[in-house]
Amino acid sequence: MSGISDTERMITLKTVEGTLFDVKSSIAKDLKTVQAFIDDSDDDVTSPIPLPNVFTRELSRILDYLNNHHRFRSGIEKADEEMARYDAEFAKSMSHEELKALILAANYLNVKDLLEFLNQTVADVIQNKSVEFVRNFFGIENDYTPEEEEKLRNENEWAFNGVEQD
Amino acid sequence: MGKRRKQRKAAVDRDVISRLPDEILCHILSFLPTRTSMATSVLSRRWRYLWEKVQVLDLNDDFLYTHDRSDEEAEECFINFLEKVVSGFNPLSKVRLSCRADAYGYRRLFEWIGSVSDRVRELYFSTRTDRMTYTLPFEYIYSTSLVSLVLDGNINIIFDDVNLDGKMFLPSLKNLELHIDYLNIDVFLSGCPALETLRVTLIKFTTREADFDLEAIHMPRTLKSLTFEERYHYSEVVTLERLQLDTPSLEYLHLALRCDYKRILVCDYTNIKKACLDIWPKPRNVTWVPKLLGALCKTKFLWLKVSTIQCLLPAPVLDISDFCNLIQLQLDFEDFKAKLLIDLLHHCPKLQALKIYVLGSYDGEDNFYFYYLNPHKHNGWRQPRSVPKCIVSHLNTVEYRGYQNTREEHEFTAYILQRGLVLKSMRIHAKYYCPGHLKWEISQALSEIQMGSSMCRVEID
Repeated sequence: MSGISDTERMITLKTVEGTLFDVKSSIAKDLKTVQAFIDDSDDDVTSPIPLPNVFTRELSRILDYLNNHHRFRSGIEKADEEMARYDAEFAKSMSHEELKALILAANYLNVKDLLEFLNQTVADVIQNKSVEFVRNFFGIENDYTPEEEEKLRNENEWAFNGVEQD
Repeated sequence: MGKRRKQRKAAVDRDVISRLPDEILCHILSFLPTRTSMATSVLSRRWRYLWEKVQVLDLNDDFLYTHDRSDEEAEECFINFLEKVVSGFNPLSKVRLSCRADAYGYRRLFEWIGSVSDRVRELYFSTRTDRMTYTLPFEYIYSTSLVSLVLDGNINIIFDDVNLDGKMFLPSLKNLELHIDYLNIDVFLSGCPALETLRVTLIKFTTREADFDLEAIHMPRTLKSLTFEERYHYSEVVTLERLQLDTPSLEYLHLALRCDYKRILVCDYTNIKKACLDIWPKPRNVTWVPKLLGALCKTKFLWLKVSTIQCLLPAPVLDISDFCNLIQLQLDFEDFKAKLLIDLLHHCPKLQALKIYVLGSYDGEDNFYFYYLNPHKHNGWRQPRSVPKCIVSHLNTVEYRGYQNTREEHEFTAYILQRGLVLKSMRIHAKYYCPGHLKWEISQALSEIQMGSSMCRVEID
């Protein structure tokens, strides 16, 4: 294809399920783990880079996010509004399971901005919820005895004064 | 998906759930108010001390002010808590505090601020007082670590007996936001050599304990974004010697000035993207506003408020350079002045969007009955000698708020509709208090115009 400059070189990524994704090198830069791999390689990376911890569903979402954000940043007017709208839709489109899976993938690939956004989203979700809800969300089993829990609530009374009780 | 793949996926999902590492959990907790974060200690043993690893303290005192406590008790309670909790957080990178301060406890509160300010990178402090204003000793925010500082509330910052020569109080500070009663902004900024974002609203020009008179304001050279609103009360002075805006990296500027500034120092803002100017038409200001506009000639968005328009009106000829990148222009008029608008359009060759807001005067006469009796205000419309380039080639959106269907407005609108060859949308919002039949009148008047652009939609509401 004519007209492709150096910065538009394509990198191929392979997910756990074996799906291949062609990614522009400018986008790959935001996947710091991948970029580090490229930087460490002596030759040009031609064969697909395997991502043993990343599933197709997650990589697809991550690339979608990065492509859109790159588009917003290079545009001019109303980019902030559109970006905010996109981010809100993006967060809403996932179940809690999918959100957590995406956080793990973004963490592994070291996608800083996305990770910041996703963690903020989780914080917003659990903000005023009950202890049970939060346990459920993270899949946590309560391993305190009732006495221990009582003692803890007293020690940290500051936290529980006024917080929703179960 | 086959059954086996589904089962395998579910197993992996479950595994994934429990695998969020501590680092991520702490990151999530860092977005929560500290009390909420503390509450997570009861989730499970693993979570017991996780909240203490968070490097952010985010507290407000609302929960303590209940009817079974006096205000003094609540305040003391809170300060005791502050002093106790801060030692448990090590290291601490960010503090966000919103609380009340009154004569009883403000000293201890400010001391606490002083104790954390040189440990953290970000400090946000917002305080509501009992109508009194308290002085925050400047040494308490003197910090080499602070990168971001936000102060909000009834506080003064007074510089006393500080050796100012070359002393950098906040050498790492990049972001500063101040919404307080009084400080000498020039002295403060002289100690912030790395500042990139500044948002400041100033209300009081001077105060009883103030040591140094404010003569000029010098903005740090490193600034990229500046929102400066100086709302000094009209009875307080004030003519200032100079406003120095020698900030070549500036990308965003919002300037609201009430005082009279003898001189302004500008430079070429090659990276400027957005500018909004609200500059009162004082005698000296009027002389340099065109120069400021010239320095902003590369901006993409420009908004001139009523006051700034009034600075430009007296000049017979608009002596400014072309805004070669300008895409959107908003002008707030007290009274619509087509001549000034056309003059400006001549300097915006690539303009795509034009917004006109006519606010009307505040003298109370500008009401429905006045309109009803005087539907034809003085018509200032003069057919321009040449058509501004942007109308013919770039202008695609026009919005007009406060339309009264005066002769001048109509002539201008017709002019744009006839000559706007690429116009897509013309939206007219009638002045709010006008009767329903005004909309009908407007649409009648405009329907007779031959449009220059076949795809143009005219909306009236």
